[in-house]
Parts: sequence; C-alpha cells; structure tokens
Amino acid sequence: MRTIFRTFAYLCKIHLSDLGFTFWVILYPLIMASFFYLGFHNLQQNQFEPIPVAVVQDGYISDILKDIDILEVKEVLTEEAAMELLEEKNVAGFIHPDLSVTVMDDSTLESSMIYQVVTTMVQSFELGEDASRLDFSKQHIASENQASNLLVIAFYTLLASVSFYSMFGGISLITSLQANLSSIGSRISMVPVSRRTFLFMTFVVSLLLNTLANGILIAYIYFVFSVSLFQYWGWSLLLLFIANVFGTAMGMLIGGVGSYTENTKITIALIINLVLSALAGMMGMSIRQVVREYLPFFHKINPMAIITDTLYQMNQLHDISTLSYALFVLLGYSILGLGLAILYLRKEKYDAI
Amino acid sequence: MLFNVLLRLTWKRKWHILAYLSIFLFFSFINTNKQQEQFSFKQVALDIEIVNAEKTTSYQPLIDYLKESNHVRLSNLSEKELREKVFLEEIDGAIILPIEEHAKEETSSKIKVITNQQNSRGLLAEAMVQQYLVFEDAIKHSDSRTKEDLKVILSKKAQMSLNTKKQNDNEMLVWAKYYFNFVLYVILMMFIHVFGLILSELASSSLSQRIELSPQPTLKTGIQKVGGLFLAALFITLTFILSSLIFYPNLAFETNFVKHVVFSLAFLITTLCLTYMLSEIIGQNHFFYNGMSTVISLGSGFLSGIFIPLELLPKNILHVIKLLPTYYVVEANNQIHSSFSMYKYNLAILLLFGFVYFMIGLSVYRLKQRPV
Repeated sequence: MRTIFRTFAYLCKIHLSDLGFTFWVILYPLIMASFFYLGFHNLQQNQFEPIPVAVVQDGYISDILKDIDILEVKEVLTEEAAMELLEEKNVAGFIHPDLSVTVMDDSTLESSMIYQVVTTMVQSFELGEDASRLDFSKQHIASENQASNLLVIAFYTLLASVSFYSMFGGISLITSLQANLSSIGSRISMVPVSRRTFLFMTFVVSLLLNTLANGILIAYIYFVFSVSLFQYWGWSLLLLFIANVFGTAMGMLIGGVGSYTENTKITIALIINLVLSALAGMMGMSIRQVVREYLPFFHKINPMAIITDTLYQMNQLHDISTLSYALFVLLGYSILGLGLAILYLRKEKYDAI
Repeated sequence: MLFNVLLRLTWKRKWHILAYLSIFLFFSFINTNKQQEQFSFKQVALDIEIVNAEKTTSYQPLIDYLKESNHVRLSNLSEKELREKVFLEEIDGAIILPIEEHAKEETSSKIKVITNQQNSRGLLAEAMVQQYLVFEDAIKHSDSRTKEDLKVILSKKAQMSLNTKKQNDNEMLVWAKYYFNFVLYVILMMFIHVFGLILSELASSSLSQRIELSPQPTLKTGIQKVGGLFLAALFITLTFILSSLIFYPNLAFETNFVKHVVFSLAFLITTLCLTYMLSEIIGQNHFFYNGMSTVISLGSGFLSGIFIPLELLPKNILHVIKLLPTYYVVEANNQIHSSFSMYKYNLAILLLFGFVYFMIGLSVYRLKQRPV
C-alpha cells in the first residue's frame, strides 16, 4: 500500500512540475473559456427589439403602423426628413404614404420584417371589404418557444475538448516509462518495480488530475461568468469522468505506440483533438452543421460530438435518453484503447538501453 | 549561411507543414461555404423544416407559399430532433402539420410552430405562417371569394427600394471575405507553431552560438532569420490564396482579390515578425510555441471578428481589439466595395505592427547578448 501511495505522489509530482501539463490542462481551458465568454456573451443578449421606421405624418397609415408591436414608428413632417433619418441610420426603413418602402442596404433582417408587415397591409387593402374578416388577434398556430444558447454550447464543446486532454498525462507518463525514450524509463526498467502497478497508477493519476482540472474549469465558468452549465449535475459529471477515462486511455495508446519522441506524440494528439473538436463545433457551428448533414455517421461516432451533444441534450433539452449511448461508446473506445496500449507495452523488451 | 540552415530546418518539417496545410485548407472551405449574406433587397430566406406526417395535400398551398421566399425542407424528424435543430440554430423554424383526422378538433388541429422567439428570424418564421392562416381564414368566411383569390391576394407584395450608394455584393465576394478572414487564423496558428519550433531548433544548434560570437550586426541576424522563413511562409500563404480560386476562378479578376492578396502578404510579414519576437522571448522551450500559437490564434479569432462578427462583440472589447493586427485586416476584408485609399491606413498599421514586433525581437536578442 505504501508503495502505491509513494508511486501516486511521485507521478503527481512529475505531472505538476511539467509546464506543458499545467498550461494545457489547467490554464488553456480557462483562457479559452474567457475567449468564448467574450465572443458569445453578446450573442445571448441579442434579443429582439422593435424596428425603428420613419413615416410621414398623415394620420392614416401612421396610425395603423403605430399599433404594430414590432415597429417603432418615428413620425416626420416631410419625405426629405424621413430620408435623412434613414441615411443617418436612425431608422431601418422609411414607409411611404403609398406603402412602398425604402430601406438601408445593410439591415437585411430588419428590412425583411418591415417588408413582411407592409406586405400584409398591402394584401389587407387588396381584400377590400373582406379585410374586416381578418382577425390578427386570433391565434391560428400553436406557437412553441425553443430558446437557444450558443454560449453554453461553446462551453460544452470546450469541456468535451479539455476532457480529452487527460491524454497528455497518459502520453507523458507512458513515454517516461519507455526505456528507449526517457532516462526515467531506463531507470525503471532496471529496478524491480511492478510495471502493472506503475501502469495502473499512471492511469489513475492522469485521470484524477485532468478531472480535477475540468472541475476548476466548471467552477471558473460558474463563479466568474455566472453561467450554470448543468441541470443534471450527477449525470453530467459522470459523462465528463468517462470522457476523461477515454482521454487517458487514448493518451496511453498514443504514448505506447511507436518510438517517436514525446513532442511528436503530443503534436499527433493535439492534431487529433483539434480535428475532432473542430468537427464537433468548437471552431464554429457551421463546420458542425456540414458534418451533421453530410457525414452523420462520423458525427455519431466522433467522441467530441458525442460528449457535446449529450451535454446539451441533457442540460438544455432535458433529454437524458442519449446518455447511455454516450457512456457505452466512450467506455468501448476506452477499453479498446487501453487494451491495445497494454498489449503493445507488454511486448516492449530492450536488448540494450 | 543562416538562410540555408533555416531552409534545411524548414524542409525537415515539411510533413508537419503539409499536414497542417491540408487540415486547415479543409477547414477553411467548410467553415466558409455555409456563410452567406444578402445585401441587395431580397427577403431574407429562412430555413424552415416542415413535418407533414400524413403527406396530406390540404396544407400544400401553405407549403408552396413558404417555399416562395424561404428554404423549405420537408422532413420526417421527430419533435425532439426538430427542437434540437432550432436550439442549435441550424433552422429558423420547425412546422409540424396536424394529422388530418384531428383537423376538426380545436385542441389538436393547430399547426405547431417551433421557433426561438428571442431571435428575429424565429419571429419572422412564425409571423409568416400566422399571416397566411389569417388570410386563409378570412377568405374561408367570405361569401364572395374563393380559394383561388387567396393565391392572388398573397401574391401582392410591398414595393421595396434600396437607399444605397453601394453596388450589390455578390456571393463570391462575400465568400472571399469570410475565407480570407479565416486564413488569418490559420496563418497565425501555423507560423507561430511551426516557425517557432524551427527558430527554437536553430537556437539550440551550435550555429546559434557561432552567430552570437561573430561580429555580425544584430539587425542583419534578425533580417536573416525572418528572411530564412519567408520562402516557406510565402508558399503556405500562396497555397491559401490560390486555393480560393478553385472555388471561384473569377475572383482573380476582382479588385477585391488584389486587396485580399495584398493584406494576406502584409499579414504574412507581420506574423513572421511576431514569430521572430516570440522566438527571441521564448527561446528553446518547445512547449511554449504550442501554447502561444493556440492562444494567440484562437484569441485573435474570437476577438477580431474572424469567428464572430465585430458588431456582435461587446463595445468595451472593441477598443481593446484595436491592439491586435488581425483587427485591421478583418476590417479591410469586410469592406467589400472600397478603393485603396479607404484601406491604406489599415495596411500601414498592419505593417507598423510587424515593424514594432521586429524591433522588440531585436531588443530582446541584444539584451540576451549582454554579458551578465
């Protein structure tokens, strides 16, 4: 037992004294979370506000327009004054007395909304006497709101990506165990230390430290940005823990295969992480949308996408039915990765170091 | 001598560069091919998904009406999947048409419209469906009108005109704007990482010690270091520039293309100077180049309008981001119709950034050379 604790402490020390680990696993997620917050925070607050339009005071058209909630009518005395307001961008459009509309070229969505309103008026006039039968207060549809939250999705993609960072610990420690790649490895291979214990402790330490770093990130988002990520805390943390198991297993696999240097292996892991994260939506939702549309199977097996999707489905859409699939696939990947890593490392024998 | 060594070191990393190049080319294409804007007046086309479970024809006029000005897709997705699409903003609205046998019942007969009601596009989608149904209801209760009249009445539209002094942008120019903005992120990421590692390898070689001992002026050493990486940097940048022509060959004949080329090349020089400065500060620590390339490129991506439009960023951030060189390129790229005089200021500031980075790099190099 003492040996296990000593090995545990020793491995923790190796990890924490490694600048690469401290940066990628602890600092980098916090920096990225700050960027995401700065970038997406405003998108969240971008709620709909009435569209300002200029109307020449004529008593008829302007009175009708004033009753429409989505418009903010600014009455002016002359057409010139209305055009001036438009050119100064104080209004998004100018509705003429004959119901033609002049809009600015760079306010397309607002222009479309003005167009929709005025078109409805034109069509109402076209109805003639039957216009009295138009009842806009009657609700003909069952309207349902499905709020979106791009900031939270960005945080979920980040969590998915950084939970995979446990692989860096796996790579570093496995490399340091290989006698042909590190001096520590050559010393270990010459002393009577159980490799199995070392491997097991490597796995546990990488896993625990990265899970702890994920916890720091969640706390940072919660306390600094006041964003609560989870409704289902227990299930979400379980998913992230399994994602960390997967990351560590993959790290051990990448670390154990081939006699490349640690730097090369970390670069390979970074590229894999970057590609999978980007395809899951970390670099923008448009990439994710293309993948979902044209490569749906790949999206279903991309671990980053699985973690991101399950997190928002559970916590934003209140659907936990996909959790079992996510856990099953991630555990399957982990067992496969770990099995291959152990198989590969067991074969390692050195004629000379 | 230094030039040759740098070329050799760059050649050693050719697979690294090619791997990066192919991955980012792929991302550049898929990241920009979905982003489109409309500038001339054309009603914004919404993305609407309609579920018509029974494939009944009674709702066909509504579907046809929505199809006139929107991207309408008929699908068999469940409500859960549709909600997910609205949540992810992949679509602006989802419409679930009621099953016909329930059509007479008040409770389940209504068309279900799922939208994000905090979003203008969602509101517009809902308004269009509601408007159609209000008119349909009025015609149904009219004694003198038929269903055919509905079509005629709904074909009447408001007359729109643009108060514009600008020419209409076409899809190609808008695509190029997004593409060349994304290229900035890629250049930052690749140059700092790959060239940083090359310069760190140079710093750890015996040649570096010989240079330090030689009487060669500091300025010349700095220029040789930046110049040695220039060929590879030019190859990477030109690959991105020429790749844009695969999608739109006619882009080559646009004045905007010249602007994108000029800014990309100027950004190449500035980023090389930034990499040089970082290499003098960081030295041989390989890991820091990984970290810096990711933080600087993603940071610039999020804060300079590459990933998120500038107008959506908080106002106080807008003052800070003027300290980033990427801001000036993004600002120039976003001005689709502009003459050189409009962006010469941006170009000058961009090159000034490069000059300042280079001078800081030289100063750090000199400081390091001072005997302790």
